Amino acid sequence: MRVCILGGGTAGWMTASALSKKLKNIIESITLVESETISTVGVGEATLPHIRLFNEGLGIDESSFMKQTEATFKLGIEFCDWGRLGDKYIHPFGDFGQTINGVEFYQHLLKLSKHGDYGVLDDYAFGISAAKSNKFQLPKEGKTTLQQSFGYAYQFDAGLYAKFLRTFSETNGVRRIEGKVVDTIINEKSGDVTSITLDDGQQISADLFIDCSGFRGVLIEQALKSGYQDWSKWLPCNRAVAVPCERQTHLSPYTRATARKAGWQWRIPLQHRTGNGHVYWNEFISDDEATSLLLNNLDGPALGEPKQLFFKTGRRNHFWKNNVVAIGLSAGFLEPLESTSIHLIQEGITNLLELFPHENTSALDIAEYNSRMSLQYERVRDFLLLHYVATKRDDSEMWRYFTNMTLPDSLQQKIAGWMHRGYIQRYEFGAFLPPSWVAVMLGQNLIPKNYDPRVDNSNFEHVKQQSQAMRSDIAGAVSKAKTHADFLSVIGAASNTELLRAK
Amino acid sequence: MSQQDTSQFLVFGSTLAASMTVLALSKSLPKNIKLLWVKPANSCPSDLLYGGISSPEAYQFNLEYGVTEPQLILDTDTTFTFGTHFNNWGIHNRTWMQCFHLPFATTSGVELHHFMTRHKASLGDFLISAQAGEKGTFAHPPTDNVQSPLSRAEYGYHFDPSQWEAVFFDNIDKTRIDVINGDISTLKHNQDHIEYVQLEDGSKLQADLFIDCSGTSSKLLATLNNDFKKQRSVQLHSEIQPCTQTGPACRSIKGNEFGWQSVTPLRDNNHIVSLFESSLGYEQTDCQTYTLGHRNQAWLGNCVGIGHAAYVLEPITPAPYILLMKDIERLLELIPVNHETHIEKQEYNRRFLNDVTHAELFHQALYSEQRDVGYDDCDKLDRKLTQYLHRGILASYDFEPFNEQDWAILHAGLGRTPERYDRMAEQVDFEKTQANLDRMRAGIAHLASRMPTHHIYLEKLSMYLRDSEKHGQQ
Repeated sequence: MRVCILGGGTAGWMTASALSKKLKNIIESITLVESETISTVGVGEATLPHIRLFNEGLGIDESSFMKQTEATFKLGIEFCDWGRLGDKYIHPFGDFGQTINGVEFYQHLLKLSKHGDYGVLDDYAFGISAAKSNKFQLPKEGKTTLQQSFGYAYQFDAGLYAKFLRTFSETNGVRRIEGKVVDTIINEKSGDVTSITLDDGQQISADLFIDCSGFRGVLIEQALKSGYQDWSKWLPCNRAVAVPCERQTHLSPYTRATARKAGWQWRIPLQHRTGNGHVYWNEFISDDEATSLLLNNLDGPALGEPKQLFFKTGRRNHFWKNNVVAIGLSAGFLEPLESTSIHLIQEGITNLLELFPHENTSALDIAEYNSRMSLQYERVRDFLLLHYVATKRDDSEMWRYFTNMTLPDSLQQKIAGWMHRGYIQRYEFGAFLPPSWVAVMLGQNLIPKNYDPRVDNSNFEHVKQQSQAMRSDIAGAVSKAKTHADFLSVIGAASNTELLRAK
Repeated sequence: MSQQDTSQFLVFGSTLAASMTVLALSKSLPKNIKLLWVKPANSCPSDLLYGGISSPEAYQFNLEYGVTEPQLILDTDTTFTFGTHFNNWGIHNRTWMQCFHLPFATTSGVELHHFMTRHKASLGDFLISAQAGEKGTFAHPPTDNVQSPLSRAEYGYHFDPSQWEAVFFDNIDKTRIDVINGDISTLKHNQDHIEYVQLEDGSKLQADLFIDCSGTSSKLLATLNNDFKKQRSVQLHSEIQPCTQTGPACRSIKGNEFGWQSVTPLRDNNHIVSLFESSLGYEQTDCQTYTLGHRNQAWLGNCVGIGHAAYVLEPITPAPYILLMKDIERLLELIPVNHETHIEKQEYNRRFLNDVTHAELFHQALYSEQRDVGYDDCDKLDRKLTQYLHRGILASYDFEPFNEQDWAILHAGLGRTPERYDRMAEQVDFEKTQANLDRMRAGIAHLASRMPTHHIYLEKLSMYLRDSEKHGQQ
């Protein structure tokens, strides 16, 4: 089988790496077509812990990868001004505290909070405490269960990651062709794409095409007319402006997402610079104002001209249609509030590997792929939307819009269960597990009216002592941990690149 | 009631479900919730529907509420089980061991069952629990030697429901409950809200939540609303046959012209259950007739049905026991916080329906070649079967009662062979893999035959436990 990947951004090179490594002896040829004249979006530079599995699966050495992509460790996302102006919390990777008598710790904390100062949820997660102190250590280095119960991801330069994976892929036999698609040939009978024609006249034929062409969806949409499910009514932000700036503060092991009047701003610290962007809804803020707001809220001088992006949240009706699989932005776009863009690329690749066609594409493979990816996108959508609706903010048109929104039933039920008794409606297949939902709901001041009645079956004095012991355990371990920057140096992951400075 | 106000729950029934539910509630409920147990004198015959077999999760569930394995081994006829051996099953007379197993080993990220397709091998040959079950041997899976194939095995129990009921009763925190021996004669309700139940002695009892554990009679829930979705009717005959030696660590089920017959080895006897399909019209004596199916809502008004009060599944797999544990777990997670139970009810019923219908999928899959058994077409099962047959994909839904291993073993047992396998398997050298598989098969067969027989293992374990008990007392 011959495979052609159209597009060489993060999605394209991640796909090329995985296919060339995992299906080396099966795929006859992998050709990746990209054009240097088409700039890549470089979807979110922050990731979820799942990325580690992806890299490990490729046999990538962590330190070497981090060094070459200017990567930093990520323990979570700090959300500022979301629940109310002035609020902040961190959504970590991992759980909070330890269960007591079979009941999750946060339920006990709901009761404790009514009886005095027992800290906030953040105090019971090693990842958060470490993040707040700009510290880092690997989970396996923890001496207690609490010190080990966190995950981590990376923040990296997506352009450098793509470059890193390009070298990897080419070493594994992927052929890169420079060019732009000017025509697509479709077999009238089957509806399959048979070849693409490039601007230099080259024709690339393949049995399977992976569309990583970004928002345009050159093959999945322009050629095969997949159609798009518009989710703007739930996630209405439709533009972003991005700019890197000088890194001036300590190297923080977390991403920051600050709510703004018509959207939100991201800050992603890398080793050599800090990535920034402002995602907004142009209905309530002009492009100029959005850019100005971003530039006025940077850690340091901007390192270039702001770059504008336009998008419509939603997903293709078909992620896989005929012999075209859309991966990355060509498959759909959900704003990068929870660093899910690269995760959804990874999900697409993982499912494609498992369902990789034999001689021909099969309707059964396509149905299974589409069913799995639909579920993933919908569940991420609900989680993102939660951030906008779990709020007391009504200080601008955008926030008032969310106050009056009719939510998807799936999310409405979740919030109702939570508000009534701190209950989390769980699922098995999806990116965000219950602790993530707890982090955002409590972090944004959705305080349940009641707690799990089983909490009252525990000796309250004992619970108080245990909670104090948990906080001490975490605080003690964090105080001994290395700073994030030192940790990078110790493991040989520091790039030692001179910090980028504005000209 | 608001949080920490007093309230009262009433459990009704003399079933395994009732004793397990009361045990769990007595250990979990806060003191402001008073617990009454109305317990009829006679045990409910529908406990037969557990088939005397539990899943591996029973160990942890029991332990959580203070019931230990040594207690069950020493005080009851409980034996170990690696699963169920099916014999002469279906129109193709299939024979296989439906064993319990931890996730299969992977090679280069590809699961074992794909290599079975590639190398035309039999999955059961590579599962120690299948091999040991067939050979009649048993040993506990080691927890300190992950290299041993036995560490991947899982086991459940063969049990007598009435004996387990008694053990659970002994472990109940008696300070937390009032047991009222008697039966309910009538109940007064306003639409789906039970106002009170009246006992045979004329006394009336009120409660904030009524928990119906009355078995298939579903005495409370059925009175409120009979929304039972019928699947089919079967007749069950049960008998106990004494034996001189404990049988193997697996139950056997043999298909026959009228349905099937199971033999469950207990310590000193075998429990034999025969199922007759009512639709085939065999006239049977000494049989109980059961209508299989489930209610659409297990929680109605202020009444929750647990176990067979909410669904009736044939005892062909451990599904009835798995569902019972899930019922209790679900109830504990959703103990009402006040009188307004709309949220709890909705969520309980959502999870209940998912659990029951997913368990039914597994049963339906056992009969998928036998259309006469009367299951409706189902998209979810269709996806599972077509994806498996197409390329060995084990399509799954959230929190199914039967995991991917159960499904892979079932498919293989029924002779379903995928047309293709995971393409990543092709990355692995064929000859080397074949040699590895040959070694693995021989190693597992050797280990299974060297393990002690089930009855010897039980005898020695019992002696050891008794000795430990004595030393403990000294």
